[in-house]
Amino acid sequence: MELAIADKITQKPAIKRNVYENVTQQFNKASDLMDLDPDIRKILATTTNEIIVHFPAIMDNGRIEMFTGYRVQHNNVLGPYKGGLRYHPAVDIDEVRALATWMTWKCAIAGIPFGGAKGGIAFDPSKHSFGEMERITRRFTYALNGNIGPEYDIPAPDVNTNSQIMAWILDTYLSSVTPQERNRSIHIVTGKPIASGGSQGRDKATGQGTVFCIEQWAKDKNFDLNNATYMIQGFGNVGSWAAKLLKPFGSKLVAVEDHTGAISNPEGIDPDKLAIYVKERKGVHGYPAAEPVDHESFFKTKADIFIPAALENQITAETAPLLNVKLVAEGANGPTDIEGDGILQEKNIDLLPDILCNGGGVIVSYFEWLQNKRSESWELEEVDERLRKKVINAYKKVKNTSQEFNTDWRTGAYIVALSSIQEVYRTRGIFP
Amino acid sequence: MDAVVRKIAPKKEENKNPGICASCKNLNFCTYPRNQSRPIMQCEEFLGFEPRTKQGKKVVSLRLYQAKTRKKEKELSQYKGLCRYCVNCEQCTLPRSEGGVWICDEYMDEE
Ligand code: SF4
Ligand code: SF4
Repeated sequence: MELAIADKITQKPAIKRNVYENVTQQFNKASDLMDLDPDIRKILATTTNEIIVHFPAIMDNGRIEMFTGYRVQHNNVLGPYKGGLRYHPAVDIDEVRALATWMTWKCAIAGIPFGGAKGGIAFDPSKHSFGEMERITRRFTYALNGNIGPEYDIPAPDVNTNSQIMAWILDTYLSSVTPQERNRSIHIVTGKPIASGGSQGRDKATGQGTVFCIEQWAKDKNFDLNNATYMIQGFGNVGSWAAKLLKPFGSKLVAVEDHTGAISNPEGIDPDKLAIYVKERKGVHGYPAAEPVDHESFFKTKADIFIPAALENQITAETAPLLNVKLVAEGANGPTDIEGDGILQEKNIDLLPDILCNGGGVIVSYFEWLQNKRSESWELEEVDERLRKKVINAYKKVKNTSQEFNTDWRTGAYIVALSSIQEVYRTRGIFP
Repeated sequence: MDAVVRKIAPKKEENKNPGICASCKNLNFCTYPRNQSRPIMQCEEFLGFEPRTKQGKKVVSLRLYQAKTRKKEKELSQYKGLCRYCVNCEQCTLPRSEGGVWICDEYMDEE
């Protein structure tokens, strides 16, 4: 059976699409199925603003270098633009545009009042000192000027940007507003250090959201998580937190793959011990309480749940036929390509799609924004409880919509997102 | 004419977008299967720039940063106000108050 599916796919050589092309295909599929208003489809197929700034920054040797920064704002019909800023040499307008659009869907499905945006600077941070990084970040913030703002467009950390970078953006932005406005503006960025207005629970948010989704799925299916087996690809922030949070349910981690290789132990791998090992050795390779396995054997592991929490396009025409699981819970962004998706459906493997399953991160960013806006500081328990409600709400909407349209959960998730945007456009209309 | 033709002739085929892997510290020993035609845009194991984020560490301003490169931190810490950034600081014989000098006609910036 597995071979037959693989053969079917390999007969027609699959077009290797990049992750954004996969998303676009999903958008089109959902739009067709729900009969999305063609006018609204036109609006959503385009970004609203694309800002490109060229700005100077002083290097340590006193010379000036010019940099190019981007901010693309896709849609803000549900609320202020929201999305990360990334620093790497390959940042370009197409990548930023694609990721901004993705953010719109992610926020809409999570049921938070944000639109989608993304930005970045095209340069290699490893070639710059701490001082240069600060000056580049501050000057970029200054160059963006009124194009970002706490009620307008809220940046967050992404590739090569972290809470320190957010603190510089915050400080630079606050220097540009009147002293009376400063304390009312600290929600200009999220992902801040806790001392500067960050939220409790931000570090585990994405993994926690994934586990809430799995918990709900288990309830729906009358599936006992106690003694359930699971495997994880990626033991970074999302993967390690998901594993640590599944431990109290009595579930057993039987295989892990990260960028250093894959390991397996049918008797179970302790996520806490593995996390300590990974922190020291920078990878799962060589973990003594498990056997090393190759990539293919990892995918063939018999388990109940697979959590891809690493990178894009991992469940494909080549790997999906190997999977021997009941559920795929996507902790990473875009881990399954179109062909992989089709194979999972044919194999009757349940799927919790990325825009639902890894939405915990953006939801807690929203909580951070909300706490800053209200001058509040929530305890971890409160953050967790609110996150649980949001995730379960989104889960139920996706489940009901998929049933209503008799479609897969990924398409169902897109329909939920597109419907909420369509509703706003319908009631508001288009100016003038 | 010939020269122009040669100039615009065959360009080396290059991968226009290497994705985020190009700036990832894990690149040299990363075992994830990756495909040139599908540059990675998002990866949870990306390892990149890590500035010093020691809690409470003061962010270094450009001015102070430049000053620090000229003088040892230890020496700097004994001066307050303008003297800290003044190129004459080490040779200066003017009496300087403990609270720091804030107005000085002798102050000199680098270059
Ligand atoms: S860890 Fe991720 S970003 Fe880094 S080289 Fe591997 S695939 Fe690329
Ligand atoms: S010249 Fe003035 S500013 Fe400079 S070191 Fe002396 S007192 Fe300080």
